[in-house]
Amino acid sequence: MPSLDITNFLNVAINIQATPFPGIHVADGVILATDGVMLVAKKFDDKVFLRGEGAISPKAAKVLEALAEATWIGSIAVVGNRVTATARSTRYEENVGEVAGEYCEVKLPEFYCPRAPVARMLGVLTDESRGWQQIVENPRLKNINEWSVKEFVVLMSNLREGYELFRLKDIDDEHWYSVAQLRRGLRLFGAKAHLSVRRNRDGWLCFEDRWGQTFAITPFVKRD
Amino acid sequence: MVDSMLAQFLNVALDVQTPAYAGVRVANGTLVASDGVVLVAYRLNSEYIRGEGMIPPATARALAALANEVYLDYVEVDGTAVNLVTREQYADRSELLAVTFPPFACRTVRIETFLPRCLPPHAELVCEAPSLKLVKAARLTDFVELVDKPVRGSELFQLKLPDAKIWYSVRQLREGLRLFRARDAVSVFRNEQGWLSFRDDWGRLFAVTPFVKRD
Repeated sequence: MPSLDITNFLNVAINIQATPFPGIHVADGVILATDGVMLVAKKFDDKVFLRGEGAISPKAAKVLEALAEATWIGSIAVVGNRVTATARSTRYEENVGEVAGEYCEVKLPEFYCPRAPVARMLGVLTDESRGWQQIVENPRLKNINEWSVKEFVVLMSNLREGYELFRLKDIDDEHWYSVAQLRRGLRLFGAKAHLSVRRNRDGWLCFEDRWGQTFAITPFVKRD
Repeated sequence: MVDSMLAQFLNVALDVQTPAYAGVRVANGTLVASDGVVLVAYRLNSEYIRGEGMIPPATARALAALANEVYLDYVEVDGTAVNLVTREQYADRSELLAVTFPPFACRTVRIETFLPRCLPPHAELVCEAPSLKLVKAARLTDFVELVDKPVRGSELFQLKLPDAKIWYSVRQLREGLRLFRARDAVSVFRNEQGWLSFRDDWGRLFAVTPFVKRD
C-alpha cells in the first residue's frame, strides 16, 4: 500500500500552508506547515525516512504528494530547497498482479521557498510559560463535521472523554474558533484516532495523536 | 518553456482516464488518454515527447505539477518509466536537471490506434469554429444532438429530440471540451459510427462516442 500517512499529511499541509510561511518545513525529523493561524506537524522517529533541513516549496510538495499517493516512499531528504525522495517502483506480473520493485531516487527541481523556524514554532506549543495544560483525552468532534463551515465554536465548559468538545459560539464568549479552520486541520487525523487536546492561556488549542501528528490553532479573541 | 498547455492536457487526461484504461499513452510524440467512451489526445513534437509507453497516473500528476512550474527540455517515456530534463532558473544562470520517475504498474493500452478513426479520411469535417454555448448552458444530465447544418459561429448542438438516432452526453462533452480554451477555434469531424471529434490548431483532440438508438 502506498505511503498513506505521508500522503495525507502532505495533502493537509499543502492546503494549510500560506504566506507568511509558504511551503512545508523540515528540521530534526519534523515536517511542519503553517499559515500563521494554524499549524500541522508530524514527527518521524525514523531518522532515515525524513532527513535534512529546509523548506519544500508548495510546487515540490505537490509532486511529492503525487508520488506518495502512488507508491511507497522510502525516504525524503531535504537540503535547503532541494528535495530528493526514494520511491518504490511497481510492475505487473502475470497471475500475481502488482508487484513492488526497487527503490529509485527522484530528485526534484529546486524551487525557492523561504525557511521557517521549525524548532521555535514547535517550542511555542510546549512552552510552559504560556500556560499549556491538558484539557481532555479523546473528545468527540462530530459536530465539527455537521455544522456549517461559516459557524464559530467554543469549548464546552464541562469537558469529558467521549463527549463533544465544542458548542456553537455565544455573544459573550471570549475565545472562539472557526469551524472551517478546525475542519481543515482535523483532516490530519483518522476518524478513530485517539486525540489528546491541550490549551494555553491565550486560547490556543493543540490536538495530538499517538503517531506524532499535531494540529494547533489560534482562536478569535473578543476585543473590548 | 513552462508548458501550461501540457499541464492542462494532463489534468484533463487524468480526469478522463479510468482504471480500465489507466494512464496516458505515449507514442510518436502524441499523448492519448481514454476511458473507452471519450478520448483526448495531444500531438507534440516527437523531440519533446520522446519514446513509447504509458505515463502512469501518479507520474502524470507529478508531471502536470512540474510542467506548470519549470522549463521542460524534453520528456522521455520508456515503458512506464518517465525521465524528463528541466531547466532550473537562477538569477545568473540556468542549469539542466534530469528528473527520473520510477516505473509504476500501468497496463499498456494502445489507445492511439483509435486516433485515425477520428480524423479524415475516416471522418468528415462537420463544421469549423462552431459555437458550443449550449454545452455549457445545458444541465450535466441533458443529452444533445448535432443541428441539421452547422455553420461557423452558430450553435453546433441542440437538445436531443425524442426521435434522434444519435446523441451525445453533455457531461462527457463538457469533460473533454475543457481541453480547449474559450477562444480556441476548433474543427469538428464526425465518422460513420457517429464519433464526434474536436481538433484545434495546437494538436489537441477530443473525441466522444455517441449514444445510438436501438430499434
